[in-house]
Amino acid sequence: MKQNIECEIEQTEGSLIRMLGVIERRGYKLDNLNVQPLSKAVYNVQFCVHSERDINILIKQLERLVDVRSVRRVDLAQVINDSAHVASYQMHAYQASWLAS
Amino acid sequence: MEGSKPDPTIIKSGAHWLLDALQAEGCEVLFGYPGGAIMPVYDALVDYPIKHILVRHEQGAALAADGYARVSGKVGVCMATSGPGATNLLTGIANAFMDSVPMLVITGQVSTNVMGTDAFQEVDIFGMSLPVVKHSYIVRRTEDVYATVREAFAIARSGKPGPVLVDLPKDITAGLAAARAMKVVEVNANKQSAQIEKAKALLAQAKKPLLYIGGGVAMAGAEAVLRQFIRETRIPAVWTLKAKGSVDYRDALDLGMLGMHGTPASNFAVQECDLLIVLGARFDDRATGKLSTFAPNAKVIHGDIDAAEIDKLRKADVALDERFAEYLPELVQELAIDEWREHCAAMKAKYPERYDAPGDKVFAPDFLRKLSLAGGDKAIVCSDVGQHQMWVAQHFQVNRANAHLSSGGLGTMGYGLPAAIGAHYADPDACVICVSGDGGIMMNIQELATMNRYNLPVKVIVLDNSRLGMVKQWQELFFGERYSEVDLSDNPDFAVLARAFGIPAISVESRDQVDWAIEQILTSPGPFFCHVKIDPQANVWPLVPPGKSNAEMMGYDYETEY
Repeated sequence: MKQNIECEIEQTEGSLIRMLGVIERRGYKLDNLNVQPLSKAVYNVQFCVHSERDINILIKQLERLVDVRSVRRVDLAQVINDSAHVASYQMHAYQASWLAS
Repeated sequence: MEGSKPDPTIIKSGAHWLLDALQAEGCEVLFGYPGGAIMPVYDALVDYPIKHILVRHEQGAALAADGYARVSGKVGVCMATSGPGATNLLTGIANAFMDSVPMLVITGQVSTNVMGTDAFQEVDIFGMSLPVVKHSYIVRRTEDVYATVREAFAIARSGKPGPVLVDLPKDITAGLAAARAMKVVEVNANKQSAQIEKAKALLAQAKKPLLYIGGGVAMAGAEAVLRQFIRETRIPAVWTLKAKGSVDYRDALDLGMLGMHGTPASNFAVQECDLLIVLGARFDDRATGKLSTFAPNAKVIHGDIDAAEIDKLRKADVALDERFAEYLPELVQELAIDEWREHCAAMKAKYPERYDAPGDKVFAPDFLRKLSLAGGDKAIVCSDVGQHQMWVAQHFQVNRANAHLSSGGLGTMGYGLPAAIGAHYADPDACVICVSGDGGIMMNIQELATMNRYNLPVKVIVLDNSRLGMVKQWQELFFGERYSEVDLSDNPDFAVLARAFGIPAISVESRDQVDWAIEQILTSPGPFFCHVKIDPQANVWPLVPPGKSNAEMMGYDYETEY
């Protein structure tokens, strides 16, 4: 079963590889990964995994890591909905700009 | 840990900042071995009163620090140089990680300007150790050394304890700087809301409640609370290898160790119970057998300091948070379970330990039982891994968990001797006994030199069956008696070997020498080595075959017994 997770982790040496190690070692297959600096000190990490195992076990294992600040499961429907809103907003902004020109 | 501000006008080397941090954390002893990249630290060490124990192999340092930590409850500290020094620590680090032992691991590293160039004695110990540390650092600025080491201590001992590695490049320990302020360290622990009322209700409804005690109880300092809870509720208890000593073994409702080599009473009680109160345990496969058949009729109350253990392998009906021990008094209530108590006590009485093996060869279980009776409450026993480890767990009685040191999670052959050395430094007045096998002792035999160097009154007992006994037992039972690479009949003469290290030694070959040998072991004032030839055919019983239910103990099948 596929699950989307979003984490905030500190930009300390090894924090990313430590997190990826836990994901794979605990039996979750990584499907995709997106890392963005949220600030000078923090990464925002979004990833999708699939596994037979309960996703809550992985969430708890990640929460144990010292340099992980937060972990949350992302509802894919919500992401799509949010993306649709952004796309809609961008379209409206483009139309307004075009009409004003 | 609250941040503090060191005086910015004080300039010291990174090595001195490291040792200042160790002193500030109350570190009195560290176990290590010098080498090139860690030389600035060994140079500075001359200026400090910290006792350094020079082991003869870095693995010995890590395992000694582990033994020290388990007995003292403090953070054990070990140190080695870069490259092979660091990699030799790895087994000890993994051992501490698997058994949640607080440890600070200091490794030297090549200088920062050559890191990543395959320099002499360079390995990525940070990367290699990632899966087996609670946390780790590479310190890249001298000003960070003091704060990083203090933070490492805080992380190692907080929440669920574990090893923390600090990798120190040579130019960082040799360099001069003022120390930066420390950060506040927050460690994630099990903060979920405890469901006390629900737990009380489950207990009130239970007709067959059972306590399943793990090593987390002693690590939480909750042995006294647990024993009081058992006295007040009279709920029968079973325990894991790491919890040996947490429950009073003289209590009729202490059913003993559960699992693969557990007692029939313990395993059968788990099969029958309708409520399992799990405290500081993690449903390890050696304890549960086939998990889907474990405690099939029971609801589960699970208390652990680590939230990640809740629901990991068995769904809990009620979860208790990291303060699980504090809640025990609240759970005390009148329980109408006399019939269950009597049944459990009767099961325990039905399957007593037997020490009447035929023949005149030394019967290891009886030897260990007599040794523990003679050793008394001052004894601390450190076992290696194999058949003798299980015999110690079954027959060597201790009355506190930190008097029994065993490599539970990793199963590290070679653990016993260095752990015993560490245990001695944690409790110098204790009678520290290392029980090893003829396989395990050879894994860290070089630490006899450490015993001799510091004249440590550690008593080493080698139970010698001239083979890798546990592997032999499995090949006999589960691989059609096809014995493969288990013969150790070309062992050295262990007593002669011990004497070559400067340690008085005796050899015992027959049952009529046992009482004399035990007297020699316990009355000799300094280091002592006792080589005991045991029956090579002896196996560890009872046994739950791998992958089977705990109800299917060889020789004690639950279905036919009840």
